[in-house]
Amino acid sequence: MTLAASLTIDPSEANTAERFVAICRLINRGDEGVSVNVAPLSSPSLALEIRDISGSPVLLPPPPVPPATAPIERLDAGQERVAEFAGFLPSWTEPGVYRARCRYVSGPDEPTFSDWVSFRLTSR
Amino acid sequence: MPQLEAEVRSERREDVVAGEFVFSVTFTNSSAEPARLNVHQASHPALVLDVRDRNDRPVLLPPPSAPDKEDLEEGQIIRPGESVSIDYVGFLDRSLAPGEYRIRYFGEFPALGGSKEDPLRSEWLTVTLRPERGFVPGIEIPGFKPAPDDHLPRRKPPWLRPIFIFIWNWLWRLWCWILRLLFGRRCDDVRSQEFDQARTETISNAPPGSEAWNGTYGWRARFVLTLDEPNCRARVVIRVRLVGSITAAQRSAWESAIEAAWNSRFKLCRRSCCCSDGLQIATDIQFVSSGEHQVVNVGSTTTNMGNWGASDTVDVSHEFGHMLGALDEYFTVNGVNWGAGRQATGAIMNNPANPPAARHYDTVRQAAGTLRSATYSTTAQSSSC
Repeated sequence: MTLAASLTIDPSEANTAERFVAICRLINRGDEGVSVNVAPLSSPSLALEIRDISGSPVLLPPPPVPPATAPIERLDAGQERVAEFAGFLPSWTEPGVYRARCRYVSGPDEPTFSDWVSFRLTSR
Repeated sequence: MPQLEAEVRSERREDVVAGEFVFSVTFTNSSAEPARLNVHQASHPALVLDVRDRNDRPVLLPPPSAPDKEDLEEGQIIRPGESVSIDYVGFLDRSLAPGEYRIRYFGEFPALGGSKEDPLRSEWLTVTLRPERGFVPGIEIPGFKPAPDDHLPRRKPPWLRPIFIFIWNWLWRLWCWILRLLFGRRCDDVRSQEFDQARTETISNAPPGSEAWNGTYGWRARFVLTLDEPNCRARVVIRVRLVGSITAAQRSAWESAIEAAWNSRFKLCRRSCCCSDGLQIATDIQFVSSGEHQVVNVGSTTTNMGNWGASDTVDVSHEFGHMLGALDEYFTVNGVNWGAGRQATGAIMNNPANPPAARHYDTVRQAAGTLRSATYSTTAQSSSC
Protein backbone atom coordinates (compact mmCIF):
# COMPACT_ATOMS: atom_id res chain seq x y z
CA MET A 1 0.00 0.00 0.00
CA THR A 2 1.57 3.28 -1.07
CA LEU A 3 -1.00 5.44 0.70
CA ALA A 4 -0.74 6.19 4.39
CA ALA A 5 -3.01 8.25 6.62
CA SER A 6 -2.36 10.29 9.70
CA LEU A 7 -4.65 12.23 11.99
CA THR A 8 -4.23 15.08 14.42
CA ILE A 9 -6.95 16.46 16.67
CA ASP A 10 -6.62 19.87 18.15
CA PRO A 11 -7.15 20.58 21.00
CA SER A 12 -6.88 17.22 22.75
CA GLU A 13 -9.30 18.43 25.40
CA ALA A 14 -12.16 20.93 25.19
CA ASN A 15 -15.45 21.65 26.91
CA THR A 16 -17.55 22.06 23.75
CA ALA A 17 -17.73 19.64 20.84
CA GLU A 18 -17.44 22.38 18.24
CA ARG A 19 -13.91 23.31 19.35
CA PHE A 20 -12.31 20.12 18.09
CA VAL A 21 -10.65 20.24 14.70
CA ALA A 22 -9.48 17.04 13.02
CA ILE A 23 -6.82 17.15 10.34
CA CYS A 24 -6.54 14.04 8.23
CA ARG A 25 -3.55 13.63 5.92
CA LEU A 26 -3.40 11.14 3.08
CA ILE A 27 0.20 10.68 2.03
CA ASN A 28 1.62 8.94 -1.00
CA ARG A 29 4.57 7.02 0.40
CA GLY A 30 5.30 5.27 -2.89
CA ASP A 31 7.86 6.15 -5.55
CA GLU A 32 5.28 6.99 -8.18
CA GLY A 33 2.30 9.30 -8.43
CA VAL A 34 -1.17 7.86 -7.89
CA SER A 35 -4.68 9.02 -8.72
CA VAL A 36 -6.91 9.25 -5.68
CA ASN A 37 -10.65 9.71 -5.34
CA VAL A 38 -10.94 12.59 -2.89
CA ALA A 39 -14.70 12.15 -2.28
CA PRO A 40 -14.06 9.90 0.76
CA LEU A 41 -12.13 12.79 2.31
CA SER A 42 -14.89 15.31 1.64
CA SER A 43 -16.88 14.77 4.84
CA PRO A 44 -16.02 13.95 8.44
CA SER A 45 -18.81 11.37 8.25
CA LEU A 46 -16.84 9.51 5.60
CA ALA A 47 -13.27 10.07 6.71
CA LEU A 48 -13.46 9.78 10.49
CA GLU A 49 -14.17 6.81 12.70
CA ILE A 50 -14.84 7.68 16.33
CA ARG A 51 -15.21 5.38 19.31
CA ASP A 52 -16.08 6.04 22.90
CA ILE A 53 -14.14 4.66 25.85
CA SER A 54 -16.00 1.33 25.72
CA GLY A 55 -15.17 0.93 22.04
CA SER A 56 -18.70 1.66 20.80
CA PRO A 57 -18.85 3.69 17.61
CA VAL A 58 -19.93 7.31 17.84
CA LEU A 59 -22.28 7.81 14.90
CA LEU A 60 -21.85 10.95 12.83
CA PRO A 61 -24.62 12.56 10.76
CA PRO A 62 -24.96 11.26 7.20
CA PRO A 63 -22.55 12.57 4.57
CA PRO A 64 -23.84 14.76 1.74
CA VAL A 65 -25.30 13.22 -1.42
CA PRO A 66 -22.28 11.97 -3.39
CA PRO A 67 -21.26 13.80 -6.55
CA ALA A 68 -22.32 12.30 -9.88
CA THR A 69 -18.70 11.73 -10.84
CA ALA A 70 -15.94 10.95 -8.40
CA PRO A 71 -13.45 13.83 -7.99
CA ILE A 72 -10.03 12.39 -8.84
CA GLU A 73 -6.79 14.11 -7.90
CA ARG A 74 -3.19 13.28 -8.68
CA LEU A 75 -0.97 12.67 -5.70
CA ASP A 76 2.69 12.67 -6.65
CA ALA A 77 5.26 10.63 -4.75
CA GLY A 78 5.74 12.08 -1.27
CA GLN A 79 2.80 14.45 -1.70
CA GLU A 80 -0.11 14.62 0.72
CA ARG A 81 -3.78 15.60 0.59
CA VAL A 82 -4.99 17.34 3.71
CA ALA A 83 -8.62 17.34 4.84
CA GLU A 84 -9.58 19.57 7.74
CA PHE A 85 -12.76 18.93 9.69
CA ALA A 86 -13.65 21.73 12.07
CA GLY A 87 -16.39 20.87 14.54
CA PHE A 88 -16.52 17.25 13.43
CA LEU A 89 -17.90 16.03 16.76
CA PRO A 90 -21.71 16.25 16.96
CA SER A 91 -23.00 18.81 19.43
CA TRP A 92 -25.05 16.16 21.29
CA THR A 93 -21.97 14.10 22.20
CA GLU A 94 -21.75 13.34 25.91
CA PRO A 95 -18.61 14.38 27.83
CA GLY A 96 -15.98 11.67 27.94
CA VAL A 97 -12.82 10.29 26.41
CA TYR A 98 -12.99 9.37 22.76
CA ARG A 99 -10.59 8.12 20.13
CA ALA A 100 -10.72 8.74 16.44
CA ARG A 101 -8.88 7.61 13.38
CA CYS A 102 -8.86 8.77 9.81
CA ARG A 103 -9.97 6.27 7.21
CA TYR A 104 -9.68 6.42 3.49
CA VAL A 105 -12.09 4.05 1.76
CA SER A 106 -11.75 3.93 -1.97
CA GLY A 107 -12.65 0.80 -3.88
CA PRO A 108 -13.13 -2.71 -2.55
CA ASP A 109 -9.61 -2.93 -1.08
CA GLU A 110 -8.92 -2.65 2.62
CA PRO A 111 -9.26 0.97 3.76
CA THR A 112 -6.23 2.99 4.74
CA PHE A 113 -6.37 3.87 8.42
CA SER A 114 -4.39 6.28 10.54
CA ASP A 115 -3.44 5.48 14.11
CA TRP A 116 -6.04 6.16 16.78
CA VAL A 117 -5.88 9.59 18.43
CA SER A 118 -7.50 10.22 21.81
CA PHE A 119 -9.29 13.38 22.86
CA ARG A 120 -11.46 14.38 25.79
CA LEU A 121 -14.72 16.29 25.85
CA THR A 122 -15.16 17.73 29.30
CA SER A 123 -18.41 18.98 30.74
CA ARG A 124 -19.01 22.72 30.52
CA MET B 1 -7.79 -15.09 31.27
CA PRO B 2 -11.48 -16.14 31.50
CA GLN B 3 -12.25 -19.57 32.90
CA LEU B 4 -14.38 -20.40 29.91
CA GLU B 5 -13.27 -20.90 26.33
CA ALA B 6 -15.64 -20.03 23.51
CA GLU B 7 -15.40 -21.98 20.29
CA VAL B 8 -17.50 -20.98 17.28
CA ARG B 9 -18.70 -23.03 14.36
CA SER B 10 -21.22 -22.93 11.58
CA GLU B 11 -22.44 -25.68 9.29
CA ARG B 12 -22.38 -23.35 6.34
CA ARG B 13 -20.04 -20.43 5.73
CA GLU B 14 -20.32 -19.82 1.99
CA ASP B 15 -23.34 -18.64 0.01
CA VAL B 16 -25.25 -18.08 3.23
CA VAL B 17 -28.78 -16.61 3.35
CA ALA B 18 -28.60 -13.81 5.93
CA GLY B 19 -31.93 -14.47 7.65
CA GLU B 20 -31.30 -18.21 7.91
CA PHE B 21 -27.70 -18.22 9.11
CA VAL B 22 -26.97 -20.43 12.15
CA PHE B 23 -23.97 -19.72 14.33
CA SER B 24 -23.05 -21.98 17.27
CA VAL B 25 -20.85 -21.23 20.24
CA THR B 26 -19.58 -23.93 22.58
CA PHE B 27 -18.38 -22.79 26.00
CA THR B 28 -15.96 -25.09 27.76
CA ASN B 29 -14.68 -24.67 31.27
CA SER B 30 -10.97 -25.24 30.79
CA SER B 31 -10.05 -24.28 34.34
CA ALA B 32 -9.90 -26.35 37.51
CA GLU B 33 -12.67 -24.32 39.21
CA PRO B 34 -16.42 -24.20 38.46
CA ALA B 35 -17.36 -21.25 36.23
CA ARG B 36 -20.60 -19.37 35.75
CA LEU B 37 -22.40 -18.43 32.53
CA ASN B 38 -25.88 -16.99 32.23
CA VAL B 39 -26.90 -19.03 29.19
CA HIS B 40 -30.23 -17.21 28.98
CA GLN B 41 -28.59 -13.81 28.78
CA ALA B 42 -25.85 -15.09 26.48
CA SER B 43 -28.54 -16.25 24.05
CA HIS B 44 -29.29 -12.64 23.01
CA PRO B 45 -27.21 -12.15 19.84
CA ALA B 46 -27.08 -8.37 20.25
CA LEU B 47 -25.43 -8.70 23.66
CA VAL B 48 -22.66 -11.08 22.74
CA LEU B 49 -22.05 -11.27 19.02
CA ASP B 50 -19.57 -8.96 17.40
CA VAL B 51 -20.30 -8.77 13.67
CA ARG B 52 -18.07 -6.84 11.27
CA ASP B 53 -18.29 -6.24 7.56
CA ARG B 54 -15.35 -6.65 5.23
CA ASN B 55 -14.16 -3.11 6.07
CA ASP B 56 -14.18 -3.99 9.77
CA ARG B 57 -17.16 -1.77 10.39
CA PRO B 58 -19.51 -3.05 13.12
CA VAL B 59 -22.81 -4.45 11.85
CA LEU B 60 -25.53 -3.39 14.26
CA LEU B 61 -27.91 -6.12 15.37
CA PRO B 62 -31.52 -5.55 16.41
CA PRO B 63 -31.81 -4.64 20.10
CA PRO B 64 -32.27 -7.46 22.62
CA SER B 65 -35.60 -8.04 24.31
CA ALA B 66 -36.19 -6.41 27.69
CA PRO B 67 -34.36 -8.38 30.41
CA ASP B 68 -36.51 -10.95 32.16
CA LYS B 69 -36.01 -12.74 35.48
CA GLU B 70 -33.67 -15.35 34.05
CA ASP B 71 -31.53 -12.68 32.39
CA LEU B 72 -30.88 -11.14 35.78
CA GLU B 73 -29.93 -14.33 37.58
CA GLU B 74 -26.36 -15.35 38.27
CA GLY B 75 -26.38 -18.03 35.63
CA GLN B 76 -25.62 -21.70 35.62
CA ILE B 77 -22.49 -23.38 36.93
CA ILE B 78 -20.27 -25.10 34.42
CA ARG B 79 -17.98 -27.62 36.10
CA PRO B 80 -14.35 -28.09 35.04
CA GLY B 81 -14.22 -29.88 31.69
CA GLU B 82 -17.96 -29.41 31.04
CA SER B 83 -19.35 -27.69 27.96
CA VAL B 84 -22.52 -25.92 27.00
CA SER B 85 -23.57 -24.79 23.51
CA ILE B 86 -25.77 -21.98 22.26
CA ASP B 87 -27.14 -21.71 18.71
CA TYR B 88 -27.82 -18.25 17.30
CA VAL B 89 -30.31 -18.42 14.44
CA GLY B 90 -31.42 -15.74 12.01
CA PHE B 91 -29.74 -12.82 13.75
CA LEU B 92 -28.30 -11.41 10.51
CA ASP B 93 -30.78 -9.10 8.85
CA ARG B 94 -31.94 -10.03 5.37
CA SER B 95 -31.21 -6.51 4.18
CA LEU B 96 -27.46 -6.95 4.71
CA ALA B 97 -25.48 -6.43 1.54
CA PRO B 98 -23.99 -9.61 0.08
CA GLY B 99 -20.33 -10.15 0.84
CA GLU B 100 -17.94 -11.25 3.53
CA TYR B 101 -18.64 -10.76 7.24
CA ARG B 102 -16.77 -11.79 10.40
CA ILE B 103 -18.51 -12.89 13.57
CA ARG B 104 -17.23 -13.72 17.01
CA TYR B 105 -18.50 -14.19 20.52
CA PHE B 106 -17.59 -11.27 22.78
CA GLY B 107 -18.74 -11.32 26.41
CA GLU B 108 -17.50 -8.51 28.58
CA PHE B 109 -19.59 -9.08 31.68
CA PRO B 110 -19.28 -11.82 34.33
CA ALA B 111 -22.71 -13.21 33.41
CA LEU B 112 -21.43 -13.59 29.86
CA GLY B 113 -18.18 -15.30 30.82
CA GLY B 114 -15.79 -12.36 30.83
CA SER B 115 -15.19 -8.88 32.17
CA LYS B 116 -14.49 -5.41 30.78
CA GLU B 117 -10.78 -5.89 31.36
CA ASP B 118 -10.68 -9.50 30.25
CA PRO B 119 -13.57 -10.27 27.90
CA LEU B 120 -14.40 -13.79 26.82
CA ARG B 121 -13.85 -13.79 23.08
CA SER B 122 -13.82 -16.48 20.47
CA GLU B 123 -11.90 -16.62 17.22
CA TRP B 124 -13.49 -14.82 14.28
CA LEU B 125 -15.61 -16.89 11.93
CA THR B 126 -15.89 -15.59 8.37
CA VAL B 127 -19.08 -16.08 6.36
CA THR B 128 -20.08 -14.98 2.89
CA LEU B 129 -23.65 -13.80 2.42
CA ARG B 130 -25.20 -14.42 -0.94
CA PRO B 131 -27.28 -11.89 -2.88
CA GLU B 132 -30.96 -12.12 -2.10
CA ARG B 133 -32.90 -14.23 -4.54
CA GLY B 134 -36.57 -14.51 -5.28
CA PHE B 135 -39.18 -12.12 -6.56
CA VAL B 136 -38.71 -8.38 -6.46
CA PRO B 137 -41.27 -6.83 -4.06
CA GLY B 138 -44.18 -5.23 -5.90
CA ILE B 139 -43.73 -7.23 -9.09
CA GLU B 140 -46.67 -9.46 -9.96
CA ILE B 141 -45.75 -13.13 -9.81
CA PRO B 142 -46.80 -14.69 -13.13
CA GLY B 143 -49.33 -17.49 -12.84
CA PHE B 144 -49.94 -16.86 -9.15
CA LYS B 145 -53.68 -17.18 -8.53
CA PRO B 146 -55.60 -16.98 -5.28
CA ALA B 147 -56.51 -20.29 -3.69
CA PRO B 148 -60.12 -21.42 -4.29
CA ASP B 149 -61.00 -20.95 -0.64
CA ASP B 150 -59.62 -17.40 -0.47
CA HIS B 151 -62.26 -14.96 0.67
CA LEU B 152 -63.17 -12.48 -2.06
CA PRO B 153 -65.14 -9.52 -0.69
CA ARG B 154 -68.30 -8.73 -2.58
CA ARG B 155 -68.03 -5.35 -4.29
CA LYS B 156 -70.51 -2.70 -3.28
CA PRO B 157 -72.31 -0.79 -6.04
CA PRO B 158 -70.07 2.17 -7.02
CA TRP B 159 -72.88 4.75 -6.61
CA LEU B 160 -73.21 3.94 -2.90
CA ARG B 161 -69.87 5.48 -1.97
CA PRO B 162 -70.58 9.16 -2.90
CA ILE B 163 -73.98 8.95 -1.17
CA PHE B 164 -72.36 7.56 1.95
CA ILE B 165 -69.66 10.31 1.92
CA PHE B 166 -72.32 13.01 1.40
CA ILE B 167 -74.39 11.80 4.37
CA TRP B 168 -71.32 11.34 6.54
CA ASN B 169 -70.11 14.89 5.79
CA TRP B 170 -73.49 16.34 6.72
CA LEU B 171 -73.58 14.41 9.95
CA TRP B 172 -70.06 15.63 10.72
CA ARG B 173 -71.00 19.27 10.07
CA LEU B 174 -74.02 18.88 12.31
CA TRP B 175 -71.79 17.50 15.07
CA CYS B 176 -69.36 20.42 14.71
CA TRP B 177 -72.27 22.85 14.79
CA ILE B 178 -73.52 21.26 18.01
CA LEU B 179 -70.05 21.50 19.53
CA ARG B 180 -69.77 25.18 18.62
CA LEU B 181 -73.24 26.33 19.59
CA LEU B 182 -74.05 24.15 22.55
CA PHE B 183 -70.62 23.50 24.02
CA GLY B 184 -68.84 26.70 22.96
CA ARG B 185 -66.00 24.88 21.19
CA ARG B 186 -63.83 27.49 19.45
CA CYS B 187 -60.97 27.00 17.01
CA ASP B 188 -58.46 28.94 19.04
CA ASP B 189 -56.21 26.20 20.35
CA VAL B 190 -52.46 26.80 20.00
CA ARG B 191 -50.08 24.25 21.44
CA SER B 192 -46.32 23.81 21.22
CA GLN B 193 -43.83 21.19 22.20
CA GLU B 194 -40.12 20.55 21.86
CA PHE B 195 -39.22 17.32 20.08
CA ASP B 196 -35.91 15.50 20.14
CA GLN B 197 -35.71 12.21 18.31
CA ALA B 198 -32.65 10.06 17.63
CA ARG B 199 -32.39 9.04 14.00
CA THR B 200 -30.11 6.43 12.44
CA GLU B 201 -29.70 5.12 8.96
CA THR B 202 -27.48 2.49 7.37
CA ILE B 203 -26.28 3.08 3.86
CA SER B 204 -25.20 0.02 1.88
CA ASN B 205 -24.67 -1.07 -1.71
CA ALA B 206 -22.77 2.09 -2.61
CA PRO B 207 -21.37 1.67 -6.13
CA PRO B 208 -17.63 1.60 -6.94
CA GLY B 209 -16.07 4.96 -6.17
CA SER B 210 -18.58 5.69 -3.41
CA GLU B 211 -17.83 2.76 -1.08
CA ALA B 212 -16.96 5.24 1.65
CA TRP B 213 -20.68 6.04 1.94
CA ASN B 214 -21.45 2.52 3.24
CA GLY B 215 -21.95 2.74 6.97
CA THR B 216 -24.28 3.62 9.81
CA TYR B 217 -24.98 7.23 10.64
CA GLY B 218 -26.80 8.84 13.52
CA TRP B 219 -28.14 12.24 14.45
CA ARG B 220 -30.88 13.95 16.41
CA ALA B 221 -33.94 15.60 14.88
CA ARG B 222 -34.78 18.48 17.17
CA PHE B 223 -37.41 21.15 16.70
CA VAL B 224 -40.27 22.94 18.37
CA LEU B 225 -43.63 22.22 16.77
CA THR B 226 -46.57 24.57 17.14
CA LEU B 227 -50.04 23.51 16.05
CA ASP B 228 -51.85 26.78 15.49
CA GLU B 229 -55.62 26.38 14.98
CA PRO B 230 -56.48 30.08 14.44
CA ASN B 231 -54.08 30.19 11.48
CA CYS B 232 -54.46 26.53 10.44
CA ARG B 233 -50.72 26.13 10.51
CA ALA B 234 -48.18 23.59 11.78
CA ARG B 235 -45.03 25.58 12.41
CA VAL B 236 -41.69 23.82 12.81
CA VAL B 237 -38.94 25.99 14.26
CA ILE B 238 -35.34 24.83 14.27
CA ARG B 239 -32.93 27.07 16.14
CA VAL B 240 -29.42 26.89 14.74
CA ARG B 241 -26.28 28.29 16.31
CA LEU B 242 -23.59 29.03 13.76
CA VAL B 243 -19.88 28.59 14.42
CA GLY B 244 -17.56 30.33 11.98
CA SER B 245 -17.69 33.28 9.62
CA ILE B 246 -20.66 34.02 7.43
CA THR B 247 -22.10 37.23 6.03
CA ALA B 248 -25.66 38.34 6.70
CA ALA B 249 -26.39 37.94 2.97
CA GLN B 250 -25.17 34.33 2.96
CA ARG B 251 -27.18 33.51 6.05
CA SER B 252 -30.25 35.08 4.50
CA ALA B 253 -29.66 33.05 1.32
CA TRP B 254 -29.60 29.84 3.38
CA GLU B 255 -32.85 30.79 5.07
CA SER B 256 -34.57 31.69 1.80
CA ALA B 257 -33.42 28.50 0.07
CA ILE B 258 -34.46 26.25 2.95
CA GLU B 259 -37.83 27.81 3.54
CA ALA B 260 -38.58 27.90 -0.21
CA ALA B 261 -37.75 24.21 -0.41
CA TRP B 262 -39.76 23.05 2.60
CA ASN B 263 -42.66 25.51 3.02
CA SER B 264 -46.13 25.70 1.46
CA ARG B 265 -45.88 22.24 -0.06
CA PHE B 266 -47.73 19.93 2.32
CA LYS B 267 -50.31 20.05 5.06
CA LEU B 268 -51.26 17.81 7.94
CA CYS B 269 -54.78 16.44 7.73
CA ARG B 270 -57.15 14.80 10.20
CA ARG B 271 -60.89 14.85 10.60
CA SER B 272 -61.57 17.82 12.80
CA CYS B 273 -64.16 20.57 13.24
CA CYS B 274 -61.31 23.09 13.15
CA CYS B 275 -59.01 23.50 10.13
CA SER B 276 -60.96 20.90 8.20
CA ASP B 277 -58.69 21.52 5.20
CA GLY B 278 -55.57 20.79 7.22
CA LEU B 279 -52.69 22.59 8.89
CA GLN B 280 -50.22 24.03 6.43
CA ILE B 281 -46.66 22.94 7.31
CA ALA B 282 -44.33 25.91 7.65
CA THR B 283 -40.68 25.53 8.63
CA ASP B 284 -38.65 28.30 10.14
CA ILE B 285 -34.88 28.19 10.58
CA GLN B 286 -33.79 30.69 13.21
CA PHE B 287 -30.18 31.64 13.84
CA VAL B 288 -29.52 32.04 17.54
CA SER B 289 -26.58 32.54 19.85
CA SER B 290 -27.84 30.16 22.55
CA GLY B 291 -30.63 27.69 23.21
CA GLU B 292 -29.99 25.98 19.88
CA HIS B 293 -31.44 22.75 18.54
CA GLN B 294 -28.44 22.26 16.26
CA VAL B 295 -24.92 23.60 15.86
CA VAL B 296 -23.76 24.25 12.31
CA ASN B 297 -20.11 24.89 11.53
CA VAL B 298 -19.64 27.23 8.59
CA GLY B 299 -17.06 26.13 6.04
CA SER B 300 -16.39 26.29 2.33
CA THR B 301 -18.56 23.29 1.38
CA THR B 302 -21.44 21.37 2.88
CA THR B 303 -20.09 18.13 4.30
CA ASN B 304 -22.94 16.92 6.54
CA MET B 305 -25.84 18.13 8.70
CA GLY B 306 -23.49 19.96 11.06
CA ASN B 307 -21.13 21.50 8.51
CA TRP B 308 -22.50 23.81 5.83
CA GLY B 309 -20.84 25.69 3.02
CA ALA B 310 -21.25 29.45 3.38
CA SER B 311 -22.12 29.93 -0.30
CA ASP B 312 -24.13 26.75 -0.73
CA THR B 313 -27.88 27.15 -1.18
CA VAL B 314 -28.67 23.68 -2.54
CA ASP B 315 -27.22 20.96 -0.32
CA VAL B 316 -28.11 22.90 2.84
CA SER B 317 -31.80 22.28 2.11
CA HIS B 318 -31.10 18.54 2.03
CA GLU B 319 -29.24 18.77 5.35
CA PHE B 320 -32.17 20.69 6.81
CA GLY B 321 -34.26 17.65 5.85
CA HIS B 322 -32.12 15.55 8.19
CA MET B 323 -32.80 18.09 10.94
CA LEU B 324 -36.51 17.44 10.33
CA GLY B 325 -35.83 13.71 10.67
CA ALA B 326 -35.78 12.70 6.99
CA LEU B 327 -33.52 9.87 5.86
CA ASP B 328 -31.29 9.81 2.81
CA GLU B 329 -32.67 8.35 -0.39
CA TYR B 330 -29.70 7.19 -2.41
CA PHE B 331 -27.97 3.79 -2.67
CA THR B 332 -29.64 1.40 -0.18
CA VAL B 333 -30.82 3.02 3.03
CA ASN B 334 -32.18 0.82 5.83
CA GLY B 335 -32.78 -1.89 3.25
CA VAL B 336 -34.62 0.30 0.71
CA ASN B 337 -32.90 0.59 -2.65
CA TRP B 338 -33.16 4.14 -4.02
CA GLY B 339 -30.57 3.95 -6.79
CA ALA B 340 -27.99 6.62 -7.52
CA GLY B 341 -27.92 10.01 -5.83
CA ARG B 342 -28.90 13.25 -7.59
CA GLN B 343 -31.37 11.63 -9.98
CA ALA B 344 -33.26 14.16 -12.13
CA THR B 345 -36.59 13.03 -10.66
CA GLY B 346 -35.36 12.27 -7.13
CA ALA B 347 -36.90 14.12 -4.21
CA ILE B 348 -34.79 16.39 -2.01
CA MET B 349 -33.28 13.57 0.04
CA ASN B 350 -31.96 12.07 -3.21
CA ASN B 351 -31.42 15.23 -5.22
CA PRO B 352 -31.00 18.35 -3.06
CA ALA B 353 -32.02 20.57 -5.98
CA ASN B 354 -35.55 19.13 -6.00
CA PRO B 355 -38.51 19.60 -3.63
CA PRO B 356 -39.36 17.24 -0.75
CA ALA B 357 -41.94 14.45 -0.71
CA ALA B 358 -44.68 13.91 1.87
CA ARG B 359 -42.70 11.15 3.61
CA HIS B 360 -39.95 13.63 4.47
CA TYR B 361 -42.31 15.27 6.97
CA ASP B 362 -43.03 11.96 8.73
CA THR B 363 -41.23 12.93 11.94
CA VAL B 364 -43.18 16.21 11.99
CA ARG B 365 -46.42 14.35 11.30
CA GLN B 366 -45.73 11.91 14.14
CA ALA B 367 -44.80 14.78 16.45
CA ALA B 368 -48.11 16.48 15.61
CA GLY B 369 -49.92 13.25 16.38
CA THR B 370 -48.20 13.08 19.77
CA LEU B 371 -48.97 16.72 20.49
CA ARG B 372 -52.67 16.35 19.65
CA SER B 373 -53.13 12.65 20.52
CA ALA B 374 -54.47 12.15 17.02
CA THR B 375 -53.49 10.57 13.74
CA TYR B 376 -52.47 12.88 10.93
CA SER B 377 -51.80 12.24 7.28
CA THR B 378 -49.64 14.40 5.02
CA THR B 379 -51.30 15.78 1.89
CA ALA B 380 -50.05 18.06 -0.88
CA GLN B 381 -50.97 21.69 -0.26
CA SER B 382 -52.93 21.82 -3.53
CA SER B 383 -55.13 18.81 -2.64
CA SER B 384 -58.00 18.81 -0.22
CA CYS B 385 -57.74 16.85 2.99
